[in-house]
Amino acid sequence: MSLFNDPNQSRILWHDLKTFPSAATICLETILKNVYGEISPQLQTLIEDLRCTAITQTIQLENLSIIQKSTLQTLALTDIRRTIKTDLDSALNYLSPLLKSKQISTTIDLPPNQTMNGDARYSTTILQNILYIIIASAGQTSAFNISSKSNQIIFTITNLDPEITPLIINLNKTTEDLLYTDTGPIDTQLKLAWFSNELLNQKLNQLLAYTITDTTLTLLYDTH
Amino acid sequence: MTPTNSPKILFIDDEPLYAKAYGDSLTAQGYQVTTAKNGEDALEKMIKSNFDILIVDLIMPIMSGISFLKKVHRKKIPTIVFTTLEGETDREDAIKYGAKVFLKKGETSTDQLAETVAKLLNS
Repeated sequence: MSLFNDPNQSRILWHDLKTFPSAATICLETILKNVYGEISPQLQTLIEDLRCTAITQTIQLENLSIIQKSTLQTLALTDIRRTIKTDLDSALNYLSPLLKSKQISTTIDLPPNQTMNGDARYSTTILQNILYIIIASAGQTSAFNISSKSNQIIFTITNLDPEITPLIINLNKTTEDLLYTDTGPIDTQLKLAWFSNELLNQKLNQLLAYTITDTTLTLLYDTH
Repeated sequence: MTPTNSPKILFIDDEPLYAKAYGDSLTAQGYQVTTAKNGEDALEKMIKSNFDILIVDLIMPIMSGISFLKKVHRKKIPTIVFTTLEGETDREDAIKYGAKVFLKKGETSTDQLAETVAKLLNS
């Protein structure tokens, strides 16, 4: 019997898997704050890169654990209406050291009560993943804006390359929804997209913008 | 050098990297930080010294965070539960045994932890 089939053992295993990259993120942050003495600019860059890698791994492990648990129906995903801003604030809070290190200014133009459906933990993790990809791809001192238009949330980074090829993933909300599932299987394509290293390392693509409506997830990539 | 009258924090976590990074960061901000690697170790440390704030991980060997809190909650020391788990049962038990704040390890920056400690001390 696989360790992952036992809910209690699975819980502990995921906890253990996430511990090192999560702890490494904080250790590296402490070093960057010069708690152990001032560090050189070259070392600062290296440590910042290491910290980004640790954050990526933590997010990917979190994604994997949620998908695995919900696939095995050991995680009850709750479907409630929540304000988008709550989940965004949570995701941005986690990524704030990265935003600060790149001097990226963020503006959020969302009606405070704009809502969406889904499970809080899952949607926050997905948002963290998306935001991380956007922020990691951005140059220094970019401006990052999150706004809404009717049923869309639009994430944009300044200095977009005008020659972008949109990559569209259509997700029908009535069958396999991005943000929640009625304990059914999560869309395989989406699963692969969100935690595949290939996505993050793909040299042709940088995720520049993301929109979500009730039925469609749209990712805009720079393919040059 | 940390002044001897600065607030004392007991940081209880079996993962040495967390204890070191968060602990050193709090020390740099002027607190006196003692670390313990599980609930039993923490109880021994509490015999030798009084603490103003407890920061407690939940999943630890030998004695878990909840078992530790059951033993010390009557001392009413302000407690931060600092964990990577989010189970509702854990949360309910921790509140029952005196936890005031829940923070997620790894996702909470050292500044955010220090801010939370300061707020608890002032409240």
